[in-house]
Amino acid sequence: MEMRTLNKKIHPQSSPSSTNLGFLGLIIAGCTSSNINLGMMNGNDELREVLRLKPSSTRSNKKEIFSLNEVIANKKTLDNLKSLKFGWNGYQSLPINVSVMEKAELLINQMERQPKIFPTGRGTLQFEFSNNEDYLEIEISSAENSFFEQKKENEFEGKISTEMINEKVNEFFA
Amino acid sequence: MSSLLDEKFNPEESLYRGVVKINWDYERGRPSSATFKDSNGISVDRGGGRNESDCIDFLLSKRKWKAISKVSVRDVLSVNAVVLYKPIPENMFHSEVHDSTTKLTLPQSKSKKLRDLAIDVYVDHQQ
Repeated sequence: MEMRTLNKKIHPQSSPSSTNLGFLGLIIAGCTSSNINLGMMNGNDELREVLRLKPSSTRSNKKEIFSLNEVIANKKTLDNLKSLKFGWNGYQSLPINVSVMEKAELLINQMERQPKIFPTGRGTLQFEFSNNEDYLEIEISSAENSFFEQKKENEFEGKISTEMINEKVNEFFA
Repeated sequence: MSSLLDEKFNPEESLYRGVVKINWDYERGRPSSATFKDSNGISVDRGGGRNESDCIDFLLSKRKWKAISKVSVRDVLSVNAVVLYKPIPENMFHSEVHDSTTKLTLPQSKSKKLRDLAIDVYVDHQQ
């Protein structure tokens, strides 16, 4: 497999099925910033199946949204954030909680739209999305998650369960 | 430690906050609102009568920041947050932005609004 293939955005009319996405998540979950080994993937028929960009009727009307490259970049970001120590932001910031990290890793493996990920000084992670002038941020914490959304002139803020995050993001871009 | 500055803030007084690289949104060229989230309130340096370059140099003497952003006291009040003078031995300008007089942490909406109001007065383009 060539690296070039992984850099390619997967077109909606040819995005992987949810089964394959799940499998892809497992593969990516095994990659760290230091051990992404494309050579290991060679010969894996199922992965090849994913990257052959098979059509999927469920996503046929969506814009280009799924990028394996972005998933891998976010995995790398999370790996880097694991090493943050107390006071990492120059003030009294907390390290990112382990359970927050685990939750974030699971989420990015499942998300069609990849967020920009930022750590906060309160030990949480922030997922950010923007769509023109609209804005959505989701704060992942160990106890509960919360969101803030700006859409046109309207603002929404509240709690959100982990299971609903992907749906919230898709709804934001709908 | 005795306070060397007035406990009261002038609405036009500037408050400076250092931004680390991992909180910088390179795509948009500005800090993430995550910069304005902290469990102990948001630490800032008040201007305290200094000129801006002195404020920047003082912050840079402590750490190599990616950027330094400022908001005014008026900005803080406009999002219904409060700023308190909290000098510490190593920094007589240290102050904190709290959600209210009884709650430390800012909700997401206030952090985002502060980010939108913030002006970047220093950016290290080498980082």
